[in-house]
Amino acid sequence: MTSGWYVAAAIATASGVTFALRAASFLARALWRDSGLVARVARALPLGVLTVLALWVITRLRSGSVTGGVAESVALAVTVLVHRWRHHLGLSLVAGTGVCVALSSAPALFH
Amino acid sequence: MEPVSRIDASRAGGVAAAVREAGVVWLGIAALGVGFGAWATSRGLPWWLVPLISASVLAGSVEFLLVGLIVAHASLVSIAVTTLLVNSRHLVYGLSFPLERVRGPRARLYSVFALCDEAYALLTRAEPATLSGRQVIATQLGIHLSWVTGSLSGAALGAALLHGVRGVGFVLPALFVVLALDAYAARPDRVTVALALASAAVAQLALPASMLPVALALLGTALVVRSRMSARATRDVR
Repeated sequence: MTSGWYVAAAIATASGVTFALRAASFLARALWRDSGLVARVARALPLGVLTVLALWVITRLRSGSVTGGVAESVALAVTVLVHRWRHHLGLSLVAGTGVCVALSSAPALFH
Repeated sequence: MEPVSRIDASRAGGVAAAVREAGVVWLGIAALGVGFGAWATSRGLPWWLVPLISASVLAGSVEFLLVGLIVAHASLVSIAVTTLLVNSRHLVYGLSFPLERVRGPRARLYSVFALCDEAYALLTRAEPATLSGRQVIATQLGIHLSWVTGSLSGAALGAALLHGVRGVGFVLPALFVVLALDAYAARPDRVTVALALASAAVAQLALPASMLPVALALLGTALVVRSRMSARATRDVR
């Protein structure tokens, strides 16, 4: 294993840069507090960012899948349907992840 | 002493609201943490280092990369650049995160430190006025504690804990999809969804390896342009 100082410096670097980025975003808000443009963009951002995050994790579902993406596709459909049916965050997560675990673990049982 | 009991009630209320709104997400994050811990020790990292990374960085995607970089003995500059690129999305989070609900400099400092994707997603879906500072901090503390506890368990118990269990990682895609559906229900803004879809498609085609930061940069630009255009249109009508 590499030296303790190197590991400590590596963790401190990643932690420091992450914190600086998070803090900088609030500085930006303070600087443009009176801007109508920034206020309008900020209102639309959560929906836009979440849509991009969702698409990002979906495009990466196939790598790491043991079923070639089949379990994940079915689980995704189940998640969306359950959520449109009950509108309950926890229920949708449990249902979708449960289906994914069941379908991904099933092939292993036959080996 | 009625005021004191009222303060106690609001404290308990904030924590209870955080448990109600985020409890299941905490469990999901703990499960992901187990996966991260087991994976990190399988790459050769000592088990006690894993919770240190989880506790001090608190950004899942960067932590996976950081483990690989440490094992490969990458330079500090490349660690800084990688973190900067992968986490550049946080540059826009402060614009809509309800930090103004959090009272006191120490609590605010912690809230900024713990502003990960999940915290942003969970805390921007409600109207800021309906959130208490306690609820914001409790939500973030819950995410932090579950991630650290999960990764410590995964690192200490290793692959034994996850033997034969596959597909748990789906909880993260499911979370973002559900939160996107909720964000749309709260604010059915088709133009924003269309711009996000287009940004993601262009980024995926042009630079699949850095799809996330590229897509968010495109989305940010597109939202600014749209806002400019709609402001001009309103002026012209007048």
